[in-house]
Amino acid sequence: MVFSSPLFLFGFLPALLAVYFAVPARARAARNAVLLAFSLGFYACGEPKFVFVMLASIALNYACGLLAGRERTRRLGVVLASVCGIGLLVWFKYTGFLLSSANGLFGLHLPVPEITLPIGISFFTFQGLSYVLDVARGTVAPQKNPLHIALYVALFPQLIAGPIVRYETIAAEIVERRESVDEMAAGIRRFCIGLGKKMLLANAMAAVADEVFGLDTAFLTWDLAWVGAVAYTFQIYFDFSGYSDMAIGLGRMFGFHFLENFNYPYISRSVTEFWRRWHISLSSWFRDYVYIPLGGNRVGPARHIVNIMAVWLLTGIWHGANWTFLCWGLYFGVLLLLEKFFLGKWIARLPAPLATLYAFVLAVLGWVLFRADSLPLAGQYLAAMFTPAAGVQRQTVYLLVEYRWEFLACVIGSFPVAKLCAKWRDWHSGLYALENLWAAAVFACSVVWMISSTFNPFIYFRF
Amino acid sequence: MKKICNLLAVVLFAAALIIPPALSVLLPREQVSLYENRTLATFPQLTARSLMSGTFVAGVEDYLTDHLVGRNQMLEAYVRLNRDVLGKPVVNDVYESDAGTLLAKLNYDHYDAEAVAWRMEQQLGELTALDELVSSYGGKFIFCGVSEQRRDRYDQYPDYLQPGTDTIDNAERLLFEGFRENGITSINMYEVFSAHGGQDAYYSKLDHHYTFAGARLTYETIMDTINLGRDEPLAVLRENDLVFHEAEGAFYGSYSRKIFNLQRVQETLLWAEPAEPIPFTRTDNGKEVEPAVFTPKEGYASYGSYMNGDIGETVIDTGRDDLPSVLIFGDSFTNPVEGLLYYSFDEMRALDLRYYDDMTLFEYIEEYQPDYVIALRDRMQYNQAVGNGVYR
Repeated sequence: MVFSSPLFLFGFLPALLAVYFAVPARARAARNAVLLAFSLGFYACGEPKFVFVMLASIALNYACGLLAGRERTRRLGVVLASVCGIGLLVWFKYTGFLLSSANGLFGLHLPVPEITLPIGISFFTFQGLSYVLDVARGTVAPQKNPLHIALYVALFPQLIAGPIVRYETIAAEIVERRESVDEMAAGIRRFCIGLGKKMLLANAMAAVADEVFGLDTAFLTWDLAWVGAVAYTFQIYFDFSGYSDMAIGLGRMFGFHFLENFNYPYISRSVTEFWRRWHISLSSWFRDYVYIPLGGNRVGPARHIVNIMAVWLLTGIWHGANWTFLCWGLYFGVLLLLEKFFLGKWIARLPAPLATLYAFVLAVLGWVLFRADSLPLAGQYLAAMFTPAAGVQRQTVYLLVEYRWEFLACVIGSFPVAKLCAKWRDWHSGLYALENLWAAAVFACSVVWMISSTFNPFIYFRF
Repeated sequence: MKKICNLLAVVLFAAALIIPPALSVLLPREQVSLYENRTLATFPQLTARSLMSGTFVAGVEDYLTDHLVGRNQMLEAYVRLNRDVLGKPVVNDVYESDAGTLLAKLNYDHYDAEAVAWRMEQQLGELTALDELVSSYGGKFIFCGVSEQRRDRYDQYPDYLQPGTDTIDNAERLLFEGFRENGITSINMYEVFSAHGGQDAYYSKLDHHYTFAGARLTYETIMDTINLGRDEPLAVLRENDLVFHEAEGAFYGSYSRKIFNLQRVQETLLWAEPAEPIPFTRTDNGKEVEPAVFTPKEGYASYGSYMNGDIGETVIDTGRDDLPSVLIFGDSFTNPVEGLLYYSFDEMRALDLRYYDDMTLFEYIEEYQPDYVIALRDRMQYNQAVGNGVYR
């Protein structure tokens, strides 16, 4: 189930809100039980049999957390959680990729099993692992109540697409949190804006990107290729940040405060800055649990380079089992190294708009690698982007005319306009009403767009 | 103020989440979507298997979406917002031209001369074999090609929505050249319509099919072609031999449905019956049904009323053994033609191979050996080896 579905909006969410708030606030354990039960139900709706995989992951991390909390068994807890947790992830996500790559690279004929990927496994594996590692480091105390760990891992707002929440962020709120009308209203507004980002902008950009990326690259001209690449750049941002907004908003409705996951990445003035603003919870996870343990920058230059490339290789492959993701990770690793050792000073001297353009174009090129089905197709696509041709395709004109408002809204929405509006809101309390109206309008349009996506006409008369 | 706003936000949001599903449960549910031309989802059966496979939840989602109160209003609002507020040229894949014609958005054509030539050679080979099969028992095969609204009104698209017509035009050229070379009787209705006042007079503005006038001219042309080879001509229903009716209710075309009939132009749907009717029996997919060739819809008019829509196999028997038999096959363009064609024959069989799978067309013809076999295909389908383009 996804947040942008009628079943979630008109079935799951009202049912959960009704049951949750029917339980008195002082019965915290009961409210947590309701939240956990609904979270498991939320996951089971899409992947019934994989609930057991998630429950196994929860049990593993709970047990390993207890082990990691004791001096004598600390290492055992960490090793067990890492090997079993990552082993589970590798089995479900990378087995097919590893075997088919081995077949391709070494001419083998190993059978490649068809393994269905449990949705959200990358997220809940990383969340569980971070808990055990934090316990081992002494950052958080081991949790003796398994239901608390279960709720932390399975909490539905962040279960499927993040943000990757650290246990320390919500540990206190699991035990003691305060739901209020103000928190609920803030959560609702955030949820509505996130839903709008997904339904009104990301889906429109997806239509453009799918049309262009679906073309035979032999027919791809520079103009179409750029339109498709920029559309995908906006799609992935508004889709993912919209989902994060919805997750953060839903969390607030129930009294949880998740950390921000995006901070207007497309206004970055360097690739380095881009990665401080993009999918913050993942970047900080790799920083804290891979980069720093490897020595970070407190090592020699050669080892430092290896550390950075290792982190970016893992970041790439975390996103998907394909060579394109791996190369996408390495692409950013190389760019970050270049900025760190050579380009950084030059970029700092560039006028702000030029620096932003530099970072944006490099992000666009990166997303082509990310979106393409294979490396050869990515190469052909990138070649088309830089192969000059006379004139502009009719299809390009159509896409720009048809989606002109969405493109414009994406450009505006990529700048921190909302932050600015939030400041104005504090100047005059009457602006709160406007904010509500805006959220209500976005919600209404999102629902209309959501329902329209189910419009399924049959040309021929055949009931 | 802030407190009041927040309270209001919570109350409104709760109302927005609770009221629609509650009303959806309480109010009576529709079974059919007029605009989508389909039956709405039914509540799925709960079994252990359907639950574990996820199909139950998916079914509940479909059901909830299909029956959500205000769904039609929301779908209409979507069209209005996109057309009138955002000014989108294409909404739900439909473009409304300056002349008021609704046109489907076409795929951008990447013409591949070799691929088209190869495909048409295959199609021509199949049609030639079909002609030989019909001739082998003394029958007569006629290929009738009708144009299609999207191609006829191509000039009404703005420049950026004109994807090129090379594939369709060359497919047509190669097909009719091949018919001439192989001696297959063929009719190109595009030329006939052009000679009789142009395409505009014969094509709907709201639907991808021709109007009843277009269907009638197609029928007359087919009958005239048949009669050219006969010593004793078969009866042909001309204008004076028919009683015309206007179907009740607003006309919902295949394109106007998609934009909730919000277009500028409205049309009516005509049909006709012989002034001197003849008795007949009708069988659809082996089951005897009411002997009618036009089935009015309640409250609206639809192309689907002709012959009651697309049906795998229809047999109309007029019980006049002295007359020849006919088989007509093709997509829904055949439907209004069938409603006239039966009049001239002892038995009319009509096949829509998209929905008929008891036999291949070759097997069917070998079994029934109709005196006349008519392929009625539209221009957009000439190069398509699917549905009514697959014969054996």
